[in-house]
Amino acid sequence: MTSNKVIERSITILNRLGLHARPASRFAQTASLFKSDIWLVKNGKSVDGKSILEVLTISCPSGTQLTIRAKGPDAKEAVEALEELVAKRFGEID
Amino acid sequence: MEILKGIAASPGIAIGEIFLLNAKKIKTVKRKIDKNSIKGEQERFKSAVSRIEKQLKSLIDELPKEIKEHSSILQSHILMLRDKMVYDRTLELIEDESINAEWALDKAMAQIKALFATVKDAYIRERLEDIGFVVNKVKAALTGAETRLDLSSLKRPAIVVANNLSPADTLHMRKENCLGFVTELGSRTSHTAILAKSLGIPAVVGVENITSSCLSGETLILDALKGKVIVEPDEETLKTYQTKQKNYIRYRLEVISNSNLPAETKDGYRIKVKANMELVEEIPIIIQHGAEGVGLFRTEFLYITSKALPTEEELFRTYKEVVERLRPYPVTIRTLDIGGDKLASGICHENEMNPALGLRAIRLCLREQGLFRAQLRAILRASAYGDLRLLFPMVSGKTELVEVKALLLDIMDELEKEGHEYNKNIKIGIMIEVPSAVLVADILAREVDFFSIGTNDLIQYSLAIDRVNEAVSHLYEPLHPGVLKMIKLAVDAGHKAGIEVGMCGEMAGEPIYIPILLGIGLDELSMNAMAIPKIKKVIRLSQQEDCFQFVSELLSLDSAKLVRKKALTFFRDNYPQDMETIDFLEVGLSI
Repeated sequence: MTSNKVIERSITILNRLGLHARPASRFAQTASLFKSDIWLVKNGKSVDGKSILEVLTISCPSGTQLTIRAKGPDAKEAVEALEELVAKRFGEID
Repeated sequence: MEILKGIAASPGIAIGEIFLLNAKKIKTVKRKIDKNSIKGEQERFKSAVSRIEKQLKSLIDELPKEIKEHSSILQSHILMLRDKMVYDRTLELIEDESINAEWALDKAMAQIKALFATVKDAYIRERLEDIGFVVNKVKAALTGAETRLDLSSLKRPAIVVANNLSPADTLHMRKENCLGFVTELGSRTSHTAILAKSLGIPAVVGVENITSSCLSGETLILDALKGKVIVEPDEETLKTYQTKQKNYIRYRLEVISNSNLPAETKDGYRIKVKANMELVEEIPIIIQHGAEGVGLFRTEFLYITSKALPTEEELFRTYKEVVERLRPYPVTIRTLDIGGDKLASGICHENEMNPALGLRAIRLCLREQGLFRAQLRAILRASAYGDLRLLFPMVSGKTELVEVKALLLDIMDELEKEGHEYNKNIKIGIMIEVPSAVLVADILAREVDFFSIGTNDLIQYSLAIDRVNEAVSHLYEPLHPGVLKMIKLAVDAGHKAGIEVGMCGEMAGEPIYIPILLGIGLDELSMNAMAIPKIKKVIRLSQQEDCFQFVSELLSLDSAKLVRKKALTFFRDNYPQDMETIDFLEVGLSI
């Protein structure tokens, strides 16, 4: 059953100002495009990747290491898209 | 007349009639509902949310091109509106507790508040304000109240006074007769403040009790340079501010039209005027204000903000971007200038009795070589991409300099072997800020390509004054004869050895000191970008020959008091039209 497979990927926040309002909203926006459930895990604490408010509250300054976890039919695509978003610093000129 | 203090959020001066926006506090009617009405109540909530969402979307569409970048703030508001902690949670609460939508929304908001209260990052905690704006709009929609900022009765130009304004409200103002605004809430970093700055609307935020201190129709002076508002000013104050306003407008116009004129005295002495910078974001402002490069690029930011020490790659990327974006202008980068206690991570040192005289800057770097090597490697690698120059802080004598240069050669070797490109002839300079460095400047000048005088520390160390200590801060005096002699010694020693001497302290950015610095013969001045246009103007009005004469007279005076008096007289006699600009441009004008 591929749809139940959990996919995880470690990421590092590169933006100078960390995961602040704009990046957090981009993240939640992108995550919401996928059917899979998506979580952002920091130090064992996980929050809903589709909720801008939850993503904001785990406060991630630059350099924070996190795990993206996705479960569902398009988990692989979701993780890849989010990973790229983070790697490209959410498209911000930093 | 009543004067209230606040925070200058967006620079400018406005004088006009007050338009008081009475924040009608929306009272939440709490009501239990029966099982049959749950569906209907949920629908009511959904349609209120849709209404606000639609409003925000059309506001995004209407944004003019220049401020399109800010649409992301409104986008995030829409996201918050639809966030499960707001949207789903409210629907759940209506059903689970059989309560009306307003009450459920209040409860959902209370839960979000509790969650945000645990967040350590103050900037993120502030975003709670944004959620509050969105929730309030929905509440207004639920009660059928007007949800758009009602500026329809604002028929004449006026200054808007309100408890708080949402970013959406602020964007709304651009079309209306809004001369400026004052709010009771808000901070310099709130989205509303950022928007005001982009729109060029003067704004003062955080003015406590302003809505209960004034009435619509009364006269208000909004001093968004100093963060002050004056309700019902008297005749004299009004006159003063009308002049200030005129000067400020004139100054802004000049910034735009004259900032790129050369900094050349009447008798043809060309001095380099550069900017001090800390953040990449400042680059457009630096260029716009006519800087001929960056004379001091402070590098502490990346070390203070992140938890881990920045990696060489991270530093390299930042430095490379700065160099590339400012090319062909030169950038002088100062290596890390902080004490171990300020580093957010990595290296922690015991509390020092006297940090200003402790393990900091070059001393810390020479002790923590891993940290220093990473930064020097990053700087050297970035030097391949433009005119990057190296500046070492707090050097007190030759020994440190020899050590630093040996380390640098070693790193150059290493880079060579690894096949990295770098500028082999990178210019190396030192800050002149420790009195002993001034006294051995002749020796140091033979070892480096340039000096940069850091007046803030040089004054502090020369006069043994801690500027932050209120008991002695009045003794901090840039015009102390001892300080002037220090500066002259350093400049003369540099010139004798054939190297350039610049200044990057606050002194370089204040008009009154310019004739003195010209007279001492500095080659370069580096300052806050905002000060550049006025400093260039003072330079263009100067005659260096006169300044030489003036300085030799100053140096014969025996007290700071006499020096200051003479300096003021000289300035008044030679630059009469600039006298009034000194006062308001020295303070409050930050980026």
